[in-house]
Amino acid sequence: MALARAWWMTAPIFGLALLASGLGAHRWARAHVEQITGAPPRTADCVACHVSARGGTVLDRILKPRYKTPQDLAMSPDGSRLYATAEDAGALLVIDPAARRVLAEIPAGRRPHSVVLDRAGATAYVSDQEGDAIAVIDIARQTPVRRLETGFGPAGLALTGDDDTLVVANAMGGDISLIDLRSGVERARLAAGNEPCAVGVEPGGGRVLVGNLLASLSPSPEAPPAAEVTVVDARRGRIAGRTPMRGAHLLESVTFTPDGGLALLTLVRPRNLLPVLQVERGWVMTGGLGVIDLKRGRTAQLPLDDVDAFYADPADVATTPDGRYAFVSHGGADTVSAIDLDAVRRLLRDTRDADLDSLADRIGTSRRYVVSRIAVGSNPRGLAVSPDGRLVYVAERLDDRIGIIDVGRMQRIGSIDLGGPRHETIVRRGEKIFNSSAATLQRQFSCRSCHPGNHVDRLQYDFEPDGLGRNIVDNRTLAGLRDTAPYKWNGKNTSLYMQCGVRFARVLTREEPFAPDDLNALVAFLYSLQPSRNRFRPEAGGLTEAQARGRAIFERAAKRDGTPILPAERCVTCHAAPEYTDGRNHDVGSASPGDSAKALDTPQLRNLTLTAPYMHDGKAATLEQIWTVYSPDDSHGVTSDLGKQGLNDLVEYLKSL
Amino acid sequence: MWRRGAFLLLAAVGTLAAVVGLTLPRGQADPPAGTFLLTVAPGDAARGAPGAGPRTTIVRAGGADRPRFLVRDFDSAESPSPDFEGRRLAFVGRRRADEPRSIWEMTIDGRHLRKITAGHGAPAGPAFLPDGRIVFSDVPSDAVEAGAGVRSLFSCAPDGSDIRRLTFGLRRDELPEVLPDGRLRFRSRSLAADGAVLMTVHPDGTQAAAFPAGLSALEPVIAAIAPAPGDGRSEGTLPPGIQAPDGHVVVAMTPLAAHPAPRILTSVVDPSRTTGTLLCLDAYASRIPAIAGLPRGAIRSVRLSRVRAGAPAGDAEILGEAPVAEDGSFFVTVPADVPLSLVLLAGDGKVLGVLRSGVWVRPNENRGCIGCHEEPDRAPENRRPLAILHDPSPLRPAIASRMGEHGAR
Repeated sequence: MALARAWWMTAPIFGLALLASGLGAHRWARAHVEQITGAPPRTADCVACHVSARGGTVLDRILKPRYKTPQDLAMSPDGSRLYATAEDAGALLVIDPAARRVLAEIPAGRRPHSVVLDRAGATAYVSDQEGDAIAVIDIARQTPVRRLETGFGPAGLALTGDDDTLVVANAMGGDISLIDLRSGVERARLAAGNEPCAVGVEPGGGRVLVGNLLASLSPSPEAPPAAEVTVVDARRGRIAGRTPMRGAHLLESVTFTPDGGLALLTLVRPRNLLPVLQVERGWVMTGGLGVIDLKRGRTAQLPLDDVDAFYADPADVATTPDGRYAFVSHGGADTVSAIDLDAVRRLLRDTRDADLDSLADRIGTSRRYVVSRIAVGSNPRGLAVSPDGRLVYVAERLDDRIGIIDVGRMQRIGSIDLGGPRHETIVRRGEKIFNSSAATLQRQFSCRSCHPGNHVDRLQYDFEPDGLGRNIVDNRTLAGLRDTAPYKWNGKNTSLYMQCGVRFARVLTREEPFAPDDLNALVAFLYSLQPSRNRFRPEAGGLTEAQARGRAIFERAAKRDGTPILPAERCVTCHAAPEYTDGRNHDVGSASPGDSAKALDTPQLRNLTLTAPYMHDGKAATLEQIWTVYSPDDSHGVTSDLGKQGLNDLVEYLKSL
Repeated sequence: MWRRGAFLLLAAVGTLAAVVGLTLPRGQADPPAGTFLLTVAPGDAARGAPGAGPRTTIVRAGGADRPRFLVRDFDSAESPSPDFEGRRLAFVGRRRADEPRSIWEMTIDGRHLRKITAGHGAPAGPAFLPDGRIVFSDVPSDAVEAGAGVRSLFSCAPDGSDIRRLTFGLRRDELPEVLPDGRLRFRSRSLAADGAVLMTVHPDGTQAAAFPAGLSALEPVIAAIAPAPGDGRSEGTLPPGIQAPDGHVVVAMTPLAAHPAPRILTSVVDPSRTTGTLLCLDAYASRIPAIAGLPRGAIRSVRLSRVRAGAPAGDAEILGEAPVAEDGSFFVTVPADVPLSLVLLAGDGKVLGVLRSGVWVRPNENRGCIGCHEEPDRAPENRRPLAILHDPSPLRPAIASRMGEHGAR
């Protein structure tokens, strides 16, 4: 009784204390969110930032729904089966297209990218981009039977005409593997351009075209970017040629017309050398179709956009068996374009060689060959055409569906549900926003357009507000940026909310800023991006001898002659682990005459080999140039006493971060 | 006592709720498909007859309903334009013949009539913007003084305040409509020559450009929003089931339907600034053969002049000159909100090309042009223009010795 009385007497006090602490906690949470986001919060969604956006944590693994995320498609020769790589499920999905259902999910590695089938349709080859291998899958047994080692980050792949050689584009390694399928041995490793991504084999011929995602590094920052089409003679196992696609990059897909007459490549033409004054008329970028006539040695780039309407992020291209149509998926526009290939042939025939280049920037030309724009699901990527040419299947990547297009009606007539989770997490929603051009004037580009693979396009841009032709800035990777605030090279944006908020709308998309919920989702997605596994770090742990020597240089407190190095001049001071940035601005003597500030944000250093060129304006093509060309007086760390061996060791260590 | 207090409190709250409920606009049902807003006038028989009623008025017609007069007791009411939800309309009208015309707003059931502009000028062709502002055509004050017949586009806040001028080309700009991408399209007529062109401009008056008629992918979208007849504003054959009220003829019609509001475009205009810049990437990029055929290096400078309303082409006020770089680019600071004509000059001052475009730059706008009257579907070449390697050129005085011979032509 006394206890009950005491309880009733103290309960209100406890209640009030609880209420006060709750209110205090809520007030603190609001202030915390406002400090991080730069704006008063509508809701303090703790889960979005502290759980969902912490990709890779145990909690995240438990809570995160397992989406399928179809990326690439392949069709069996008889059309009875459709195969889809499921990026997030780590699997190859076997689909019955007639019944519109998934029959099996076969493990295919950590991050499956592309799939090809042999001519008999008995074996599937799936590139595992994170596993640096090809999963060889026995279709009948629905199981992986073999694993073929490749270079770093295998992406596109193709079988040569006699099915004896697998050609693999190693995106992260920058090379091409030719794998003898009888022995399973890599018989050649050929140097490609910058991030080889797509592979196409000439019908009946020995030539293989490899499309590179990024522009080749140029000695001149004033040169328009040009991604390379690497021509491979697969029989002889050597490079047969290198064709630069002038002014274009993001060659994500290559295919040939069935007669072998034309090679078709998806591409993007950036306008990064122009100040971003406006969006209209393709001022920031345009999408296109590269067309190569190998017999006549003619190359053209044909626009895929319309005047006043753009179709961002051309991703895959496939042709009908009769060679009449090509279809191109636009990942940022949720659209598939249908292209009349006879009209393309006529256009090429009627265009003089001297005028071919001029086609690329005449957007209205697309009216002559684009015959339909077909609305499909979210973030369409891989395409496959049925053997009878009547249906086109499209991987609706972020809807976990395969869309079905009727070629006769040029309409999406249905879809196949891949069985992904129904619930859309905030990160997934953010990924959709990231990949969509819906928030950009005339839908010209998405976030992904400049950050392919959630990473970086390695180009430099000139934004308007700080002066035209001034403050040129190198694009920066999104991988692992969560704890690397502040953002922007001048370090002015203390959070991603500021980076992607009003400023982003005013200087880039030219449309109203993201709605608060959309911005929250976008930031959650960006926070969730983790750096890719560093291929230069020994798998067994530790460092190689050269890396260990480089680390000693990175952390050293004295020069080789014993002269002390002040703490502020040591590499490790500004590039402190674990993010390898101290989050502060420093003047390392790197500013150019057109830069407003000399002190610039300290970049993080992880996976450095995947982010060249270097420095805030991309002036250094290699790591060595940072010191040998741009810091001869030790303004950017003390390195002048290092010989070639010392610099090499330092580079080896930096590559391992 | 407390019961009486509670009763009074409840009564007060109830009264307040009732007043608020009566005052707030009631929810409007979406207009049925096939509904149109007609501007009608008395027919021939009634026209001019004593007591014939208003000169023009607005009627809602279509769907299952009989034609319904929305505007009553007005001397004239015309140019109705629905909002994106199809629930309100803006129109131009006046209650009495001796009043100036104003922009008005009402719900599509003819209720909640509200005057928006204060009744000055001669507003016409209002349209709702996605941010709630209203764009319309009117006579700018300087043109009134000049009596030049100029009309420009303006926008105002939903309550009629904060009127901003958007176009400065000293032409007859009218019939603004909001494009699906958030820009405005309008008809622009030269005062000196016959014919009109369609132009586009951002809602803050930046990026004015010719609309690429016949090329733009927006045309089918516009047609879907405003189906036949015509462009929804002009006379045409009446759709099936649509008829004017007895004794009236249809002057104009526009579809009444909800359609997606475009996203709001951001603005770079800073009213505190008095200048902007003009960046031309390549003066040799032109549809004009005389310019396109010039050898590289021929154009050495550009002369900019202020166009005067209704004045002969040669009677422009010369503002100054700026250098043209070897690659044909020029980058120059210009006074904001001033219609400009450009003259391309050789090294000896010889006139190589004249562009009487009336282009203008808004305060703080960095206006980019690909060329001098280049093809309307051309995207820019990806090349850093030499002109931006330096700060924008100030306009330097034109060389006097060239003036008499070439003037601003």
